[in-house]
Amino acid sequence: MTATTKRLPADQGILKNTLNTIVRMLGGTSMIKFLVRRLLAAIPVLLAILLVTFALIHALPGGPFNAVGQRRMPDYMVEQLKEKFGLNKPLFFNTPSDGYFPDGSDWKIIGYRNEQVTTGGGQTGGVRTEVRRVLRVDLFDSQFFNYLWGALRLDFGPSLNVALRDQNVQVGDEIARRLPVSMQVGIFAVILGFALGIPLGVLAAVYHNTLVDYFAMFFAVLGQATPAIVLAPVLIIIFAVELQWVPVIDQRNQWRAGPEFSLYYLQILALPVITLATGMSASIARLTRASLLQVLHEDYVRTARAKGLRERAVIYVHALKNALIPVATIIGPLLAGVLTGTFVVELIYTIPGLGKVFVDSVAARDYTMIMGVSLLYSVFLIIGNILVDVIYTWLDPRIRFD
Amino acid sequence: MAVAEGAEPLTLAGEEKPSNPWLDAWRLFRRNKAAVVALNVIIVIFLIAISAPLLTRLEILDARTGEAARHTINPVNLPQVDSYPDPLTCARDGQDQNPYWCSWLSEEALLEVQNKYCFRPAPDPNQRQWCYLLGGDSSGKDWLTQTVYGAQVSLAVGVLGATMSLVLGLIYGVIAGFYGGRVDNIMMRIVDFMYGIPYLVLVILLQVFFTEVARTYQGTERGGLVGFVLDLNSDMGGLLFLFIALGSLSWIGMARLARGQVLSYREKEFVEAARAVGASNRRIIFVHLLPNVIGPLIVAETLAIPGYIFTEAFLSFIGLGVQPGTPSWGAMISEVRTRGGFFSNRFILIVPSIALVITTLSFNFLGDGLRDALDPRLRGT
Repeated sequence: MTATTKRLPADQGILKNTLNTIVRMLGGTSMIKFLVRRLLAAIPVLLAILLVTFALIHALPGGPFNAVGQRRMPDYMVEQLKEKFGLNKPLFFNTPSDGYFPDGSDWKIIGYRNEQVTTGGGQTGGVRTEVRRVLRVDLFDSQFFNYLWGALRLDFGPSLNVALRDQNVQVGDEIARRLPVSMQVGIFAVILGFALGIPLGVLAAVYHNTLVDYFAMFFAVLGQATPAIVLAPVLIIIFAVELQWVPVIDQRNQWRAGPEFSLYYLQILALPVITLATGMSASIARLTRASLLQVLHEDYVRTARAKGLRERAVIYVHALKNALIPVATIIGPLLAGVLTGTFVVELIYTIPGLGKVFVDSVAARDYTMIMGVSLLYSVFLIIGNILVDVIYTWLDPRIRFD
Repeated sequence: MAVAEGAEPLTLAGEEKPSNPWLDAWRLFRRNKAAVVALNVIIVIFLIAISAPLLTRLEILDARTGEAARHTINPVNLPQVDSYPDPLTCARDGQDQNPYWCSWLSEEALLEVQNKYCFRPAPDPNQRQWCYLLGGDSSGKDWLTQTVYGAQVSLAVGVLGATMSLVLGLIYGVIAGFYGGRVDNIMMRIVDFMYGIPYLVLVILLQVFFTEVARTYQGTERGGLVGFVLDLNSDMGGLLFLFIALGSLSWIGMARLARGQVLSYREKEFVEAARAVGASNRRIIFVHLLPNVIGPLIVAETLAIPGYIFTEAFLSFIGLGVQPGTPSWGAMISEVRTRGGFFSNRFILIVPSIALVITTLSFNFLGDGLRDALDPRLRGT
């Protein structure tokens, strides 16, 4: 008995210590407060995004069952499908004035209300008052709130796309299948972007105002000025059509299969990753160059030089570490940008990722899929924005949150 | 009183004529050769864009009526081709016009070129011919003409989009920064909120909405404001809605920048001095704050212009940009891709691609030059 009571404080001590370590690792209590505040602030943002997206897509003419370019269905089938997917419910609020009268079992009936009804009267007989049970329905039994309740439980509903709805494919599952495809392109592009951009920027800064610098910066500006829709077709023509080094599109379903060490995977990965990484490495190179140039004028670099260190040690050990701080901070927007950047690349290279799904589902009025993908993009964007602020404070302790 | 001939009036050292900051900026700007070249290139592109009807005599199909304009090669008369005509291909023109591009060639050379490159060899060498200097697309529209007209769309989107975003962001940011307190808090919460909206997703949704609305009301008479806006959009080839979609979110970055600038200048001595002599808020904003605030914003906007041009090209590429029939570089690239599948005469793709890259490259260099000139603290970044 006494042993256990004595051990408890020790446990708590360990717990407290680990907690303290975690808090310190995250950057102190102010950082925790900041993170909690930002995450709480993200909730209304996500809600509003849901609302805006919902309103916009439902304002579009046509629906998932009679979109342009689809086979026309008889009206009764459309009605049945609408009933099946709950699209016959009111959009926002299930008010009695909407004139809907539930009788099926798929409506959420939250109970019955006793109502006094007076019948009869006149010459035929006496007045009879009877109590009828009247259906009481949920005010929030509407399309929007049903989606919202589902989304809170991470259930994003079935896809309404003609190819997917018959197999009862859930939006969440479809996104889980497509997201890794987009991620493959995005992550490899970020890696390549840094691997090319930082050396290029360092070279340009070290050989400042020489031909090396001018060439590096010219290519960086050119890379920034070349959009994916220009670069991708050019790359396809050169490497896929003329030289035939790579296939134009993936014919072995390799994107879905995922990464593997094979020549074929490298072949289909090469062009999309290069396309995405070009613009990225260009901006990273320019940022690295500018930042390193600034750092090279700092006092501590002069001190290092005065100590007689070799130039290489001065640049790569002393200067570069600090010069990379601003470069690291663009990881956040980069990650968010990669996701939208893959939009373009996926469409041109016909990669079955999220961007392609989004554009296709907008055309097909796949309401649930559009909502799901926009929500996912928003979550990524918000996390990316928070990440930037966190990285700032980690790298530069002078910045504080208050 | 003997004043020496040519003597200058005495001035104190600090009393020299104050230098005009904009003139200084211009002097700095002119030192940057790349930026000056870029500015000239942009001016040339702009001139090409506004004089497109004069430069090209092969006009394109009217986007709204679908009728062939006066000098158009009627696509119906051309055989359906599954590949693009090569550069220098010729097509027949029914109109009694002077030979246009082909007038450079002798008749023998013309016949040879036609036999080699045309859809059909010309039966009669004396018949007037039109030439596609840079080829044509699958419906027989001249590629060069489309490229020249495409400059209108890209420049309009870039410059007007940037101007709109600048004005909106400036007004919003200056109000938030200057009045501070609760106003600032609420306004910046709204901006923070909009920062969480994925730009491209919203733009695509808005564009789908707008294009569908425009298509629904196409050809129907509609009065009132809605009808006016739809007509205007239709006259602009779908550009109006594109501006609205692009401008819907692009101003928030500018608003943040403007607010930050105002906050940093608001407590400076010169503003305090102005307040001390009793300047009104309006005077402080317009005379003292705005000239200081606007420099970095112009720089940021110039550097953002390629982004607008990219977005327009991408939207046109996926068919959500300008109205079909309005020539745009993105739509042209898309045309080569979808109809030609990159396997026909794919080198035709180079024309709009180079046009796009030159334009965005120029704006990038111009932005760098402006930044060096207007914001010397950021030089070299």
